[in-house]
Amino acid sequence: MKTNYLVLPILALAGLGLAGCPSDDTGNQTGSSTGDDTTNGTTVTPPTTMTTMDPDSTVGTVGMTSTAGTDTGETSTTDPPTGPFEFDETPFEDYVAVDRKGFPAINTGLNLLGDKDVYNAATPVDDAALTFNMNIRQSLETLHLGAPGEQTADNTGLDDDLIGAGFTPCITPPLPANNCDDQSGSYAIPDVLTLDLDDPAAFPNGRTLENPVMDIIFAVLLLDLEAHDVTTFLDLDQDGTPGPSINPIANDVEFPGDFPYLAPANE
Amino acid sequence: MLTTRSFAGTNAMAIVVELDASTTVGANADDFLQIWATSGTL
Repeated sequence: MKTNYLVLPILALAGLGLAGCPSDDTGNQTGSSTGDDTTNGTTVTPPTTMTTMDPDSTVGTVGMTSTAGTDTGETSTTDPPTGPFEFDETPFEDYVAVDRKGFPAINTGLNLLGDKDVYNAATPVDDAALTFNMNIRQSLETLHLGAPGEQTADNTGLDDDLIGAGFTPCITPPLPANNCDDQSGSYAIPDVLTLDLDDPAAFPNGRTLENPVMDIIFAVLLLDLEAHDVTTFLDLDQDGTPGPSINPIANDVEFPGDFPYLAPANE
Repeated sequence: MLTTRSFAGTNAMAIVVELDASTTVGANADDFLQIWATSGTL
């Protein structure tokens, strides 16, 4: 049985969208991960609670990782509740969306100048209507050349640094013959994580915990992928073996391999 | 009885949902999923 698991870095799960899509919506599936990495920069707490929602349903098993502390940062050894849970049946449309997650880091990296709350309240339907297209283009320009209208000798973006380090950046909008938006746009519009069950599951076809997604995303956003492999930042000598890399190529704690799959916390 | 509000005050870092992907695809012959998640408040 093929099994898929989703890790949702959110406090309250109000809605989870899963939709089968026609094959012509596959978009750009540039490259794949070959490395092992990383929840670098992310604090993952121990799996402490799990419950089966409905053994007859197709929903499967739900687990939650948490600490029993509060927002004060306190941690506790008190076991969290173990269910069964009685879920609120308030209609979905009565909720106000406050966050969303599909493809990694879109709101973080390609909505640099826009209102992030507005983005979080939107849906993939809004993405497909190109609601945030200008944000994406301006974010690429900011990353490469500096913020639009504010480019000075001290605000040059990353292109000069990339060139100085021996890389060939992609060409950002609004420059002629730009290709950065072609490389990254299909991942951001719409902002969903695609998974084709006929292909091996590895980012960007889905996302496993070991996948070094940020190093790959950095390559897509910053580099000319006609000149560089999408794995460049996790295999800098390009010998086909991960490392040396910009970020660690493996998580610092081994993943357990069974549900709920997350590594124990760094204490 | 525990409810969704039982999560209030906890430092939930991740919620893991495990499901049978092939069942989720259902009758879609393309074996293709698009996945996103939202969180919200009342």
